[in-house]
Amino acid sequence: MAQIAIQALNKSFGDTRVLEEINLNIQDGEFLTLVGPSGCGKSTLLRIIAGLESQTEGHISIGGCQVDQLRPKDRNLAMVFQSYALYPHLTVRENIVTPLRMRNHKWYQRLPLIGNLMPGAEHRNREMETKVNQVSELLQIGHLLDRRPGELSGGQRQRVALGRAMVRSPDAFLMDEPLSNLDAKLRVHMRTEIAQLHKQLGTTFIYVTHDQAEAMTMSDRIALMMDGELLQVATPEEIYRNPVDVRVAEFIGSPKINLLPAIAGAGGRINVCNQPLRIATPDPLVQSVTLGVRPENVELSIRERSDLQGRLAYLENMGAEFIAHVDVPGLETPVLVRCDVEQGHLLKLDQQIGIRIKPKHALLFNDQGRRIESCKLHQEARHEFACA
Amino acid sequence: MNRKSSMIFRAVRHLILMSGALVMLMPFIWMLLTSFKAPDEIFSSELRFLPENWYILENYTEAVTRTPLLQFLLNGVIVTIAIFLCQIAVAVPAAYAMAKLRFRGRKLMFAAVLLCLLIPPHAVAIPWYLLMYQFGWLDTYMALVAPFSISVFGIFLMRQFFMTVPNDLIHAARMDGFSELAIVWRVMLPTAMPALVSFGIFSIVAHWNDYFWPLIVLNSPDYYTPPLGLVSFRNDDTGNDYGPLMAAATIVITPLVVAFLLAQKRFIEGITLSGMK
Amino acid sequence: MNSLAPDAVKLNRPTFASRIFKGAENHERLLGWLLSLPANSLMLLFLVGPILAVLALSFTDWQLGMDSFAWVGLDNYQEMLTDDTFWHSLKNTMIYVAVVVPGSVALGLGAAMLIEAGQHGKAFYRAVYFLPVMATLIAMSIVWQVILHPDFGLINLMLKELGITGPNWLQDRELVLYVLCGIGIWQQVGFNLVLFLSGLMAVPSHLYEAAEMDGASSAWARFRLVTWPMLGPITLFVLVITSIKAFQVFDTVQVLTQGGPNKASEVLLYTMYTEAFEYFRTSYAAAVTVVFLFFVLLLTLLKARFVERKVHYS
Repeated sequence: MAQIAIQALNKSFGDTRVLEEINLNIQDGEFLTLVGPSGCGKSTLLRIIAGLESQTEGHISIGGCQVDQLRPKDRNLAMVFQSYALYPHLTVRENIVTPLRMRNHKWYQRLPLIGNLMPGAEHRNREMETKVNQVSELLQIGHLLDRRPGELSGGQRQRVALGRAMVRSPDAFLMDEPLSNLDAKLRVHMRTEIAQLHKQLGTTFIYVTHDQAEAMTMSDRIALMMDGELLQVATPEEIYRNPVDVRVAEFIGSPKINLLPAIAGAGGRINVCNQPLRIATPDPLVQSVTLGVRPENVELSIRERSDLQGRLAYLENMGAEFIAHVDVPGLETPVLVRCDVEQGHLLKLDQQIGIRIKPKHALLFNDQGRRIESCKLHQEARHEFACA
Repeated sequence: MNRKSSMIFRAVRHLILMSGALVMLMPFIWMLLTSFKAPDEIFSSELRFLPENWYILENYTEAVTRTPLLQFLLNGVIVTIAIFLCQIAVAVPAAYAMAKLRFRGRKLMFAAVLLCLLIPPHAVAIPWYLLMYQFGWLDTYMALVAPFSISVFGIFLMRQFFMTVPNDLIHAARMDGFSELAIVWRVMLPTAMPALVSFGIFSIVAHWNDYFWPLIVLNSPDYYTPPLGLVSFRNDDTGNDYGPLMAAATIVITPLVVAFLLAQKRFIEGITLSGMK
Repeated sequence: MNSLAPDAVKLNRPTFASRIFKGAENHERLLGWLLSLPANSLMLLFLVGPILAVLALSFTDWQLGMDSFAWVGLDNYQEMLTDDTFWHSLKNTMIYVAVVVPGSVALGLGAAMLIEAGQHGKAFYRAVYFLPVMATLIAMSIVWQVILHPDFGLINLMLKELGITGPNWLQDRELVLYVLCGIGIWQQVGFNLVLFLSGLMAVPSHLYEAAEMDGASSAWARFRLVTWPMLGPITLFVLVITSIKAFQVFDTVQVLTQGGPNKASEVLLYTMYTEAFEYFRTSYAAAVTVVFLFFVLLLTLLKARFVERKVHYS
């Protein structure tokens, strides 16, 4: 168990930069998720931590000890791969025991047959046997130990891969999209299981995924990467409520956040489609901004009391809630509004409808996509030009 | 198609295929029958298929005792196995490097492999002979094995197979503490078993049956491989004794034919590999 | 966790090997060269070097055992042009190829289609037809010699039953080459058959179903629509492979006729063999080899084109 520190890490393939100035401290026992769209460099970062690839510049230390010069096997990390990477010619038991044998045995002790005659062989074998049994009990794969990976289902393979990683008690677990080859139902189930496993083991987990839902549900902290840059590192709650970049806001959350082009008018008051909202920016220099608001922070209302007006273009029934798609004249994409079942049942397609944006939860981004401060204008101050 | 015409079609199909099969099998049948016959029956000008006096034991004992046939078979086994092991030892690490390691010159190496695939072994026989002469290896096992220790086809085949192995498996092995050589032999090779078996069959059949190269480099019967031994048997002054000669031929082809009949699919895959070459 | 780690946390203790580890990429670079070193050196020694040596030799007057040599330009090739044996050998090789290739390809294709057309005996026929490919050709050549024996051979005995006096197959100048062709076809049919079979089986059955849905109701229409587009390219491919193999005919000639009688069955490889290893005219043999190589390479390049253009049903 150890904390992992990444300092000023750069990685280039020839002229293309894949990772740019990554600084990241991962606490001991933390579940950190690296999330981002494919090609953002998150897997490369994980592989560099593992030692499977080398950085161009920068350092990595594990438990306060610099590991840049260490081979993968000497870093005492364990990795779970997307394709599970089980040895197809070995049984489950042999797969799990392999990292132990490779680490704790000298080469002559690993020899077939002869190895068993070496002094202490029996003791070592019994020790390994106990560990395999503990791990397989924990993962409930005891009945699979004598099968080969080819005979297992995806979920079972996943457990075996976890077992192989767990058996030698590594300093940290690295997981490279371990759930993405599973079907949707199993994926949700394994999420919980991995999160529970993390609690039980208390080891540092670094988990790579492109699925924001996985990141949100499992992690202590999320590190969101895009185009080789680390955009934000924060708790799921924080990253959802307070994204520092429009790309973060867009990536996290389903259905997606509404992004509306807006203009800061006199006194910093925000206008969307020439309609003034109860939101302002204190920065007097800002002109064109993007207003981000999540579907649950928008509500449908009667036209008279609304911020924007439009036509109900589509209604998604999600069972427990409805997602209304409202076409607002002047906006390219429909505004998504989350509404409850009672309200949803009253709605009719193509009806004209008003939208109210909750100013407390509205997010403003400048034209570089960076988050800027916003504030709520009081109802009564609607026509005044000042921040409350 | 109605019932009747399909019956006729089926009968005709079997008729044609059976007569073809008969032609295919005829030499094998005649070889066996001749190896069962006494000389006076072989050299009779009357067509008889089954022998009147079964002369099996005499012919086969004669085949084994008159020439060192067993020695030839042993030579064949030694040479084919040695060639195969050398080819694997050389080709598998190279194939792994070309498929899975990133290093400068890798593409060039693979291009060289593809070019060398075009070279038929007959075309380089003269320089090979001169090399063997230089090394003082003429008329030894070395001469039979050394030139075939490099199989560019083996490299090509194993590389193609290794390309399909996910990189993650290698990464997992590195994290588990396998050394790079251990990855080659203990992770990559076992996963490539199907390709290895096919290549093994291809290699062993080709070199068990090879006649051209042993004919060039061998003088003394001590190292004769089965085909060479058979021809020397025939060229003997007693070579007109067809019974033992056919018995010897039967003994030489039996190992491969039996192996083929036991594992037809694998053999067909292995041999037709040469077509893909 | 504690139960899993009785021996406490292990420190990252760098071993000697890891001290020279300068990052994964450098490591791979070195390894790549090391692992392919044996293959590369052997490739240079036994393939690249020799093929260049053959080319070079063909422009010299060197013979085995000579201490020195002189460059003689195209002399060897000129000698070849005036050498009757060479022309015989080239002509015979061409005839051999021209007979064996169409013969074995047509028979192989026909047999493959017949085998695929029915249900029963598929594996049996395939095995039987493939047997000659497997069996040591030298051994089978000797068997053929017995079968073709003018007085006591099976064939002439059978002809005698029909009242025909069979010829002396292997001593007849007009016949001998065609007899060798026959043995060549007998040996090659199974190989081609198997290639065709695998081609036919590679056509996924849902394509036939799709063709039927699209209105190709007769067996012939389905053959035209689905099977033929696959068989066409395979046939080209098999043609070229068979040609390459036929060009390399040697075993039967060496064992059965020694190129005789009177050069009637002399073929390219056999000429090369005798020049190089019986008369030891090394440089002249090298020139013959270059001609042989030229034809084989030409065919191989043709094949490379067909392989790329092959229809892929996958």
